[in-house]
Amino acid sequence: MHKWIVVVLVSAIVAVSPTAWSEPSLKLAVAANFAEPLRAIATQYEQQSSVKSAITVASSGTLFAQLQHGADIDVFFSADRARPQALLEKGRVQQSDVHTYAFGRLAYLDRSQTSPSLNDLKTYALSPGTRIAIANPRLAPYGQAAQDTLQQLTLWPQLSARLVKGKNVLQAYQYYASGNVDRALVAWSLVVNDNAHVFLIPKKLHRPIEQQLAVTAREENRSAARAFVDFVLSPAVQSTLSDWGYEPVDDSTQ
Amino acid sequence: MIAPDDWLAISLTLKLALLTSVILLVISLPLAWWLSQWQSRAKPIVQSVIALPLVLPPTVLGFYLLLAFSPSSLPGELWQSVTGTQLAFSFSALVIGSVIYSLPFAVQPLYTAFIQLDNRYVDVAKTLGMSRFARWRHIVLPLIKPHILVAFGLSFAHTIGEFGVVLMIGGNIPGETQVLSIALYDHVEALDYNNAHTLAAALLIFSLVLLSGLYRLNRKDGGSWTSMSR
Repeated sequence: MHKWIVVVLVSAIVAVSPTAWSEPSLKLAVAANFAEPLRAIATQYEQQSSVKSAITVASSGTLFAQLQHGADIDVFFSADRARPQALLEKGRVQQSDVHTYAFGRLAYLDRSQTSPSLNDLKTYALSPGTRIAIANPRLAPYGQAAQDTLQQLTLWPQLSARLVKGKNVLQAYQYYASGNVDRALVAWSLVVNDNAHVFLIPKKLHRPIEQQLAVTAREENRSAARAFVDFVLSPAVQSTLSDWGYEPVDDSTQ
Repeated sequence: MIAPDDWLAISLTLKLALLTSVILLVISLPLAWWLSQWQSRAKPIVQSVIALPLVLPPTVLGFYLLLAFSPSSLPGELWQSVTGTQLAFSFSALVIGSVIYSLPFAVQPLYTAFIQLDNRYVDVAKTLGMSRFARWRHIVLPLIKPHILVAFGLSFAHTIGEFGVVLMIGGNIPGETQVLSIALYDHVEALDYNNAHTLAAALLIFSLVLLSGLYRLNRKDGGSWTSMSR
């Protein structure tokens, strides 16, 4: 019974996934939030090494399910560390295949303040008002970080009943952008180019948002996949991550 | 076996499906009747508009509903000024979304029923002096009863399985907008496959029972649901 449900679920997932492979040398799968930077990095890599890559964008959970059922992906860029670690536990990859490639930062959006601060968040929590959007803490690391932050600020008791949860951080942002909520806690990377209504949450308020990758390539593609990962982790690429609203791996030790 | 939050989602889903189907019947009966009597070159356009939710991806529909429900757009603003509460992320929003999303499933069987309805019965009743209400109560409704059941059952079943629209406009609030399909999605995304399997199996069995019950009822009334009342 269970087996059949898995078959049906997975074929449904596979059927909806964008499968635009056209004989590329590298098949990359990335969680939605890091898709743009990865595209830029892959383009840069192609110019340097003339290795082409095709990029699939989906949620980390979907990609994880696909990988578990034999999807042919060379490198999996997850939005969290849980899923690469789960692949490791299941023996799908080895310790040396898993690397942290970036740290995310959290931002507070407030439509009523041009330059908001934590005090505005506190004031809002103590007065009646509209809902506040975050990513689902159960599914998304940014949602977990948002929950950490609200708990650290002891605002969780007041706000937990006023949350709307997006399936991911992008949807939480969509709730804000469409005007349905006036406040949201989202990824800094989504709003890094906005210069108003944004406040960068200090990273001491939440556990680090560690984004890990896993090399899932088959034998014949392993070295190509490893070379690309080395490129992503190289200081040259890591130093550009802040432009995208991420922190590089080396100077973010907890 | 099924977690308390999932029970909450199940009861919420049933409530949503029941309310949606009842509202849909109330809307669709007069709408389908009017459509079946109406002759105009614009008719195919109106029919297409009603059938549109069949074609539109639910997430697309949901996205535009989300924009419409925003306090900065007219429908959202109107709702807020009348009820004093926000439309998006509320149970009412889900009901509105589901009614739109399942509309063709209610209208089409009823439209077929009215098209196939033998007008002679109604005409005879008319000549015998039956009032309009009595004609509906004693002749039209009994004749199309199987189709009403199908319309109700299909909208109910379709709402149970609704996902994309709710995902966009719901905001995943337990007891308010976290329906069964969303809870199931959460389990899958959180790698909690055990709970996902349990919930999926429950959903599957329930839908199977519901649909077979429906078809059985229909057969008792004599006739398949595609060609009835002849």
